[in-house]
Amino acid sequence: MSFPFGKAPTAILALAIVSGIIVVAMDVFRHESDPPDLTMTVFSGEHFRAYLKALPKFEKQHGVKVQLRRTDSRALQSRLQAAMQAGIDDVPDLVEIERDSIGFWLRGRLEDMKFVDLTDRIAEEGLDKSMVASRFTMWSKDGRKFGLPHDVHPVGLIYRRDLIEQWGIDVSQIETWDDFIEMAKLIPKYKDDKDKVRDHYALQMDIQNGQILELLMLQKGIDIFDKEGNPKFAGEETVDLIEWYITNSFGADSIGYATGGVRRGQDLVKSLQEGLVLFFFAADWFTKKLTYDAPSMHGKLAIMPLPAWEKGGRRTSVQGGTGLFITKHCENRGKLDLAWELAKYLYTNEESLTELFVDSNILPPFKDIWDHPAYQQPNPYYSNQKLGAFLVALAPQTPPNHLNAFYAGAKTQIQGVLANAALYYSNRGQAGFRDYIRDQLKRQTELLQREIDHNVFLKRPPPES
Amino acid sequence: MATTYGRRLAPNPLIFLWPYLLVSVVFFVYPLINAFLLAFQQTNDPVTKEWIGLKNFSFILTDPVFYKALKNTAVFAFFSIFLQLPISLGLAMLLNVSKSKSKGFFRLLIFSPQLVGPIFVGIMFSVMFTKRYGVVNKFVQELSGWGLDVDWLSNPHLSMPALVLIALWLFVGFNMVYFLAALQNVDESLKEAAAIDGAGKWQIFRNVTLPAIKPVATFVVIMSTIGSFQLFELPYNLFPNQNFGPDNSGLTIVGYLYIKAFRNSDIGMGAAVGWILTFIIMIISLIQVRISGTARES
Amino acid sequence: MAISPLHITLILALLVFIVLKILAPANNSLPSTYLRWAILSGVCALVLTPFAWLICAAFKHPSVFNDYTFLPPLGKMLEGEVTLGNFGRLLTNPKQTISGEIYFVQYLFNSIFLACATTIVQLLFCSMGGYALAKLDFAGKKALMFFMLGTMMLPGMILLAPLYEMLVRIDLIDTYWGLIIPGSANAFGMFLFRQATIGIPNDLIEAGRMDGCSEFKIYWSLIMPLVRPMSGAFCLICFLGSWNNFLGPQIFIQSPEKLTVPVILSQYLDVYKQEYGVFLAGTLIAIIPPAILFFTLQKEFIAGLTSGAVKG
Repeated sequence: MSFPFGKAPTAILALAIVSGIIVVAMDVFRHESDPPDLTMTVFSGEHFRAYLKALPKFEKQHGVKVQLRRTDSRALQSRLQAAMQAGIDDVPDLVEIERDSIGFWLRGRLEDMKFVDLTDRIAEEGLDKSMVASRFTMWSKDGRKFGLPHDVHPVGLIYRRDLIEQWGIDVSQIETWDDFIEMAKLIPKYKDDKDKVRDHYALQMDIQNGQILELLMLQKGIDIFDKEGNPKFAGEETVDLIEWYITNSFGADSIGYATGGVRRGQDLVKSLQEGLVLFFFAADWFTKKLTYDAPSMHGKLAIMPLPAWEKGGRRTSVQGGTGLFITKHCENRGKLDLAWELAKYLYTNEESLTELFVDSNILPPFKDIWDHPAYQQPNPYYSNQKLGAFLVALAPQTPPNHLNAFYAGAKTQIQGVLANAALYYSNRGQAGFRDYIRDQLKRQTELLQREIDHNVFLKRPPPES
Repeated sequence: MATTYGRRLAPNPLIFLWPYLLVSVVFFVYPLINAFLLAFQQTNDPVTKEWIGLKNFSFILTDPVFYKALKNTAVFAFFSIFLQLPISLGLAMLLNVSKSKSKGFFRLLIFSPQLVGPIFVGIMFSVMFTKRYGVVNKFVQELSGWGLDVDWLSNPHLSMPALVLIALWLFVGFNMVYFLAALQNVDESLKEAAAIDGAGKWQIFRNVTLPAIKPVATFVVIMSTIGSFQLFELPYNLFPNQNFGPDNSGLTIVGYLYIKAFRNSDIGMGAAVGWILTFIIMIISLIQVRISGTARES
Repeated sequence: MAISPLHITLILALLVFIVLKILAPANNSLPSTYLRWAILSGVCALVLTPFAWLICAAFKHPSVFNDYTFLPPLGKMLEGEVTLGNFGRLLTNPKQTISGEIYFVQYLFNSIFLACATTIVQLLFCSMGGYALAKLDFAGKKALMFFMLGTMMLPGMILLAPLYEMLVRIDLIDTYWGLIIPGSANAFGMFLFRQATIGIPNDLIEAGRMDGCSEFKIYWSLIMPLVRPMSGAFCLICFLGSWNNFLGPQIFIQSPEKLTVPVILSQYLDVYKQEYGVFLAGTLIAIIPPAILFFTLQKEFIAGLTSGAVKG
C-alpha cells in the first residue's frame, strides 16, 4: 500500500523518519550519566557558567554528583509551577529564582510553602549577620526566611563623563535630586538648532514598565507592601513622587527622557551613545551588560551614587534580585543537609563569587569577601573607577523590598498608574493632576485589595489573646 | 445509508474513530472534568485546595479588570471583522481580475507573514515600535510628521491600535486567500447578465458577488471571531515583561486567564475564566450563525 | 544619508511592480490595470517592509543594531558593520548544558522531527476521523459532532495544568510523544477532512465494497488520493502550528537536548542580557522550513483550505 496523501506529505513522512533517526542517533552518542545526588536549576547563563566551574571541587569534597541545569527564566517558572500544581516531584533540589517571579511561591500558608524554611540554618551560620540584611526581605514571609540572596544589586547613576566634564559640570556637587535638577539646567538642549529635535536630556526615565519609578519608590522608603503583605503604596509620598516623575519627563524643558526601559531597552544603548540621555539608572548587573552592548562607550562613562531625596538621605536603591531555594522535595528525599552544604558553598565561596563578580559585576551580599583585591580593581570601561569599591560602599544602604504573591500584579498596576498619569499630564497639564494620581492609586489599591481578600489561604485566624 | 447496501454488516466506525475517541478521553475529557471541578475551588497546589462555591465566578464577574479584558477583546474582534476583513476582501477583488501568474505572486507575498510564528512576530514588532529609533516610528513620522517620540507600547491609548496594526499585517493575507477562492467560484455569466440589465458596479457586487461568497464570508467571520477571542501569544510577547500593556490596555480574556491561572497560580480561578470565555464564544458563534442563516433565507 | 523606512517601502513597491510587469501578459496594459497594480504593489511593499527590516537586523553587527534603521552605508558595511556574526554565534556557539555542549543544529533537527511527526500523525488520524464522519452512519454521530464543535470553542489554556498532570501520570512528560499525541486527533482537522470527503460520490465506496475491499482499504486507497489538496493544506497548517509552538515545548519538555527552536531562541532574550541580533538571525532561519513547505504546497494549500469553506 502506497502512501496516499500526495507528494508533499510523503516528503514530510520521509523527513520525519530521517530526522527521527538523526535525533535518536544524537541521543545515543550522548553518554548517559548516572543519576545525580543533587539537582540544581538556574536561569542565568552567567551563574550557570560560574557554578559549572565551581562544582567539581564541591563534588570532590563530598564525593557526590551534582546535576546543574539551565532553563530560561520564563520556562523555569512555568515548568516549576506546572510541576508543583500537578503535585509532582519532578522538581530540582535547589533552584534559583528571580525576584519578579518569587511572589508566586509566597502564596499560601506558611506550612504549605514549597521551599524549606531556612531561618534557623541561616541564623546558625550567622549568615543573617554576614550577608546584607535587606536582601533577605524579598523571600521572607511572616518573619521566616526561605531563600539565600545571591546578589545586592545596588543602583547608581551611570553618566557620560566625557560630555558632562566638557560642559564643566562637577557631579560630586550633586547630593540631592534638587541639586540634580539644578545641574540639569546647565546641559545644552541642542547639538545644533537645525532640526528642532532635542538632542540632550539629563535623566533616563521610563514609562513602559515602571522599573525606574519602582526603584525611586524604594529609595524613598516606599515599599509596595508592608511586612504583613498589605499594599501600602497609595500614600501622599507616592503622589509626590509620581508628580515629580511625570512633570520631569514631559514638556519642552523636561530633564527626563522616557526610554523603553531596561530589560527590553534596545533604544537605551543608542540614546546613551548619542548623548540623548546623559544619566542612567544602573544596578550592578547592568554595568556589565553595557560593556557588551555599547563597547564604543569604553572610557567615556562613570558611575555616581543616586542623588538623595533629602540631604543625608539614602544614595542608592535596588533593582532585581535572585535567591537560592531548597525545595521540600529535596527535604522529603533526605538530601536537605547536602543541599544546604551546596548552597553555602556556592553563596559564600570566595573563589566562585569573585569570579562571578569579575564576569558579571554582580556584588554578592556575603560581606566577608568584599576585601578581595578584585573589588579594588580600577575598571577601564568606567574611566578606571573602582567599580567594586563603589558598589560595596552603596551596599549597606540598599532598601528592604518586601514581596508577596501579589507583587507581580501590583507592579503592573503601578505601571498602569504611571502610564495613565503620563497621558493625563501630556493632555491636560498640571490642573487636577495630583487628584488624578491620588484617584488612580486608590483605584489600583482597591483592585489589589480585592484580590488579596479573595485568597482564602491568606486569611489567618485572629491572634489569640 | 449503510444498511441499504444489502446484507453486508454496517462498517464499524471505530475502525476510523478509535484515535479520536482514545485521545479525547485521555487527554481531553479527563482534564475537562478536572477543569470543571477546579472552577469551584481555589487552588494553591494539588494538596491545598478549598471549595469556595461560586466565589470565583462572582469575583470575575465583578472584577473591573475582567471587563477591561472583555472590552479589549471585543474591540480587537471588532477591528478584525470590520477593518481586516473588508481590506482582505478588497485585496481579493483587486487580485481576482489579474491573470493567474501575477495572482499567485501577490497571494504568496501577502500571505507570507503567516509563516512567522506569533512569538517571533510579537518580539519583532516590540523592537520595531521602539520610541525614536523604531522602524514604525520613523515610518509614521516620514508620512505624517508626527510620532517619532511616541512610545506606542507604553501609551494606554496607542497599545490597542498597535495590536490591531500588527494583526492586520499578520492576518490580512490569510483571510484574503479564503475570499479569493470564493470569488473565483462566482459565476461570471451572472455578473455579465446583471451588467446587461444595466446594473452598476456596486449593484453587481451587492446583488451577485456578495450572496455568492456568503458561505465563505460567514466561515471567515466566525473563525476571525473565535481567533480574536482566543488571542494571547501576540500581546504576551509584544509588551515588555509580559504585562499586557500599560494599565492592561492590551489585556485579552485569555491573557486574563493566563494571569489568574499561571502568574497568580490560581488554577481554579483560571478554569472559571475559561468557562466564562467558552460560554461567550458559544453565544457569539450562535448569533453569527443565526444572522447569516436568516440573511440567507430572506 | 541613511535609507529611511519610506524609501525601503517605495523601493519594494517598485520592485514588486517590475516583477509584475514581467509576469503579466503583454496585452494587458490598460491604465486601470496599472492603477490596480500600483495599489497591490503598495500593499505588498507594506507587508514586506518588516521582512526587509528583519533581514537587515539579522546581518547587522550588534554594536550598531540601533544606529541604522536598515543597513549602514556602503563604506561602513565593508568595515564589518554588516556581518554573519549573529548567525555564526547562533550556529557555532554551543549551549552549555547538563547534557554537554549542544549546537543549534540539534535544535533544528528536534524541531523538524517534532513538526514532521506531528504533521504525519495528525494527517493520518484526522483524515480517518473525518472520513468516518462524512461517509459512515452510526448511532450518536450527531452528538459526537456537537461535542467536537464544543471542544473547538474551549480555550486550550484551561486544560494546560490538568494535561501536564496527565502526562506525568502516564510518563510522557519530557518526551516528544507528550507533545504529539494529545493533539493528534483533533476536532478541527476532522471537520476539515469531513468537508473534503463529503462530496465524494457514495457509489465509489459502494463499488469498492463490491470489489471486496476492506473498509480501511477503501479509505486508504480509494478516498485519500481524491482529497490530496486537503491533505496538502492540512500538512501546512499542522506543520506551521507545531513548528511555531512555543508554550507546549516550553512547559512539557525538560531535557535541554530536546528543546525546540522557538524555545531556544527566546533564551537569547534573557532577563539580564538580550541578544536581539542573534534572536532575529534565528527568526530568519526559523522562517525557512515553513516557507519551503509553503512554496511547494501553495496550490494544494489554497485549493484544500478553501474546499471546506466554499462548500459551506
